[in-house]
Amino acid sequence: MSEMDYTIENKDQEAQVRMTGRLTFNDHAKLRALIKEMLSNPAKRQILDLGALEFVDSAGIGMLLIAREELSNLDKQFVLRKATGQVKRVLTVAQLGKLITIEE
Amino acid sequence: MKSDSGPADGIGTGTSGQDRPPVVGSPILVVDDIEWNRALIGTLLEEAGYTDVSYAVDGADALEKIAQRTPDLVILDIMMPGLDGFEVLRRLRANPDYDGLPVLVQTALSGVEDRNRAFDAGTTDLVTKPLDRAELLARVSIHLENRTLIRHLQQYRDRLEGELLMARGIFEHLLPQANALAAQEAATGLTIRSHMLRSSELGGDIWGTIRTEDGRIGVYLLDMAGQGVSAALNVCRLHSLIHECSGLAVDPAGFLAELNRQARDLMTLGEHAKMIFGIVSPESGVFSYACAGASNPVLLPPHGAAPVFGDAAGLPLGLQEDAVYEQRELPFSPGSALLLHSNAIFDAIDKTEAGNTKTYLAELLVSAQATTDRDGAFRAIAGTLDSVVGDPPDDDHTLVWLSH
Repeated sequence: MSEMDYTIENKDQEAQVRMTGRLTFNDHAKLRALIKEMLSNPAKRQILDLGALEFVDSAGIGMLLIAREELSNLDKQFVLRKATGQVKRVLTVAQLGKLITIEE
Repeated sequence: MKSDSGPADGIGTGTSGQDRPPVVGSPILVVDDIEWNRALIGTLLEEAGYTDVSYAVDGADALEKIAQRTPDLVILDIMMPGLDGFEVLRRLRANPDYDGLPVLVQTALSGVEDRNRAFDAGTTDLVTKPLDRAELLARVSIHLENRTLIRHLQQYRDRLEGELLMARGIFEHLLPQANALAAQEAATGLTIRSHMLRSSELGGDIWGTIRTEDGRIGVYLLDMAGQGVSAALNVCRLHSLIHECSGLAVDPAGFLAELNRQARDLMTLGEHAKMIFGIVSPESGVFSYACAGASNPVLLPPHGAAPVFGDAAGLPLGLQEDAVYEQRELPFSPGSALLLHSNAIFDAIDKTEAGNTKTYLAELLVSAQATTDRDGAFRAIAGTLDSVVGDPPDDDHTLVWLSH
């Protein structure tokens, strides 16, 4: 069971964050650090690529919602992309598409 | 800031951290059969600021003094008539009361074998004779500091364990009590069972029943985001909210909408709860429910028919002020059973090679249904799922079972 990790790639007006591993309660500090990086990143669109994320728990969802709120306070757009498997199911059941932009 | 809690001249404070605990008042027992040596060590310690130094003149005296009052550190001579230092060590280490009591052995033993023999007997550390003042004080302070830090940690841990145990008792009391459930079973003719495994001392799952104003039975299962103490505190708040708003329970979707509105004011950003609430109407044979992102309710029809998974999509409570919930129905005719569960099962089965969770759960339910009595079926399901989620599970795991 691998902890969550991420890499950031800057493209044009977008920052692409690729997340891997399992995003859980235990990754609080790391996700906090990622949110800080996204807040200070100049790109208007912050894309979170979930294609390689294996698992997210409810605390992880909570942290994604914090990210969305804090980015929108700075007028930045937050997009979740390419969720699959368990991650996709959790986003769908909780209808998070109503709160966060979710792209295939 | 220079720490003034160590020996007065600051020699040998072990580490330079300011977080080291004060140790000059810690009791030290000096064991030596030669008076001159006792006086020398005592003088060095007192000069360095230690205020509680006592003495034993041989091994037997040492054991007696330690039994009367356990010091925080023993400075022990090895070569003594009668009980020597090795024997004192052996007896101390055989007694669990003295686990963790540091013993500093002063010895002229220079051979590796002798030193190893001292360590084998349970020596914490050695100081070589003739004594060097700086070395002695450095070793004394480091072992006293460690002893004190470990004691603080142990006290903290004990206190926290006690608090968690009490909190758990309070939490358990929020769950439906056996006599109340029995009364509801008698009034409705339903069988109501539950099963819970927690991932830590305090949980984020709760379930309960509500008697609606028109006399029907409502059942809820709530799964708070996160785990442990913070999740449990939020569960307590929502539990109060659920019962304050229970007048609205006749309309499951409206009930969730109101809980959501109020939960949003109670909880901070990102905190949320998944919840299912449904009303059982045994007469009309319907389970009408609403979901806030909970796990699918599973209906087990009579006569071994395939299980039906109810839709469960919905915004979790506490995220959007004006969230609207959908009212849904499942048939609940006599002979049916209904299983509500938190999402721990889904997450656990995802991790195994069991494949599709719904298929897995459906097969399990059908095979359990073959059991003649419904209690047996629930026990079989709960037992199998326990082995899937593990004990303790990664996430709180709750099952609620209603059979008609």
